[in-house]
Amino acid sequence: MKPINDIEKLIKHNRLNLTAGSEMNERILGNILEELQQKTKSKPADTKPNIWRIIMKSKTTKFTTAAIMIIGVIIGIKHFYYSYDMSNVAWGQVVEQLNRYEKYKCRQRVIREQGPKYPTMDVYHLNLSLRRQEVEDGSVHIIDMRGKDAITVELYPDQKKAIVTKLIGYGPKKDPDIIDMVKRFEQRSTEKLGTKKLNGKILYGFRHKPNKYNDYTVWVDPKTKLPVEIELKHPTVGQTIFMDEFEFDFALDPSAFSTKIPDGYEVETILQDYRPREPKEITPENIRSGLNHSAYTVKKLPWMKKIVSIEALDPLGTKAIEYLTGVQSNEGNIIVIVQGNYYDLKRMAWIPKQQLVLECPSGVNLYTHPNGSIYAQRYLECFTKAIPEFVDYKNLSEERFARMIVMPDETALGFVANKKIGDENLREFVGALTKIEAN
Amino acid sequence: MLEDKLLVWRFNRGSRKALCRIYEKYRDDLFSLAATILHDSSSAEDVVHDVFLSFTRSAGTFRLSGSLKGYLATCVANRTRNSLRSGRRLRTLELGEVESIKSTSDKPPTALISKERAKKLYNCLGQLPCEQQEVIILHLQYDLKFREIAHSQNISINTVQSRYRYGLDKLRSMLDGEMEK
Repeated sequence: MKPINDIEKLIKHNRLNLTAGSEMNERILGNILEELQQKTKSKPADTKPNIWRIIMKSKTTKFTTAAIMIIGVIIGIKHFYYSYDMSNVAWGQVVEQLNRYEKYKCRQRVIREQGPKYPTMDVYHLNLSLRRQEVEDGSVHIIDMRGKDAITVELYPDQKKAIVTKLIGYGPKKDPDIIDMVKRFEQRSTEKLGTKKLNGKILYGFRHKPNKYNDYTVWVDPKTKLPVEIELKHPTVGQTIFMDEFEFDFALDPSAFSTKIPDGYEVETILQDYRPREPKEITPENIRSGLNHSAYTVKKLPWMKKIVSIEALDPLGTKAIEYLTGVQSNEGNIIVIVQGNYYDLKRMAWIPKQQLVLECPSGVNLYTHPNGSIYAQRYLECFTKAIPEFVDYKNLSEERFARMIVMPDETALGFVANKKIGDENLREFVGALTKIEAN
Repeated sequence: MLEDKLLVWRFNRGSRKALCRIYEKYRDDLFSLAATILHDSSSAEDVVHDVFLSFTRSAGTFRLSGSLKGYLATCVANRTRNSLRSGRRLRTLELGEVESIKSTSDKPPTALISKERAKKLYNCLGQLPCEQQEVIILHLQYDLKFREIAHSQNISINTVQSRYRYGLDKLRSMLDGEMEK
């Protein structure tokens, strides 16, 4: 039996710390303030006792009181200044201030529990359709979505290299950024967090959790009523975006947002067609001409019943055109190979950080995919909806899995299968991948 | 304490700001207290609501003899007792509620063990008679003296001390074995 003190200690140190929800606060505060208003209307407040009469009866207290009063006045002035300076911030005031600015600059960092590390960058938002990103590795990105065809430019000054991606039919578009979302928070659903000190400055905190996927914390400067720090947690993804070092109405030459490539840069242009289109059957030659890097097809093996290639929009939602080659096995399994214009190791640098699951003597490597099951499901659904004779997309297996194949020339191919495949068949399949040469 | 006295003084003179400040200062503590005894967050919300409404109605005549926190905590305890007597049943603590118990360890395995232990503790606490729970929680978690509890509940200090002692004895017997591990 434990001594009584241990149980006392246990209870003392295991206090339940619950936070009242914003709805509850709103309900209670609303009711009690209304009650107070009724109360003060119906009944006059008590008169203040005459403290002076009590104090000034004694000579000693008269002098003491005088001294206290002087100190009190000094403290009072400081307190008044402090209260005025750090006056409470209402969420509505923050939104009002934010609405005065269209352009702003901030530093953006992304902390992820797993997966590839995202670089820190300074982002200059000129408006919702035009922004400049200065990345920690020295590269600069310009994203311009004002026109019918959106353009992204990646400048690598150290290599004098530029990658221009034209997104045909993607624009004109306004890309709601985090500040734009913050502006939409309503006072009623925004919870006050109190204050914190940052670099000697008192900041007021607000929290807005619209759903289980997004959890915003905004720290505001009471003088400017503008955000100093914004934290956006994505609990289900295990990722947090931090934004700080805000500058509203920054001064930057308009040429900083130009998509014109500086002289002396080697330019690589990528075209991505975002115009709406239905999936359609294509030939291997169509794949080769649609890609800006090596294209692959599958040489038919004895255990393969059917091979079909289609062109479809990226089912993960980027609206890019992708080329899917589906294989139906004699045992009813479905394998789909995914190829797209951004499928190469330079642009998918995260692949080698995944787990290497198969290393072939030919130099082909297979890696795991961080979102394997979802990736597999989307591509299998996309392919089988277009080619229903392979299998009814409603009857896809739960065994599905995804891999990323890296070819010796660093071309990346997505690989998804509806059911498990033995290593031998996998090796055979990889061996059957053949580069599509120009006719 | 001084801030509370000033707040009460302003509250008695009808200050909305003072009432808001009092509410914001103590709402989470009171909500946690009610939820601890009731084991039900929606009933706990109702209790906190009723306590603050009743407190607001006393504006102009409210006299503070001890600490404001102690006074409000006692009101919450009294109201939770009434709420339990009026037929609301206890239930075991949900995992989500246990999550909000502070862990004293940064190391994940230790934190998990503490959480599990805390969950057991709260489930056992929930099985004690309400009067014993109240005294234990008010004394150990809200630092109210036996004298203050006795005064607020209109009972003798001896009764409060016996409830505390009996409650802890029962807890010990329920947790015996489990807490040793």
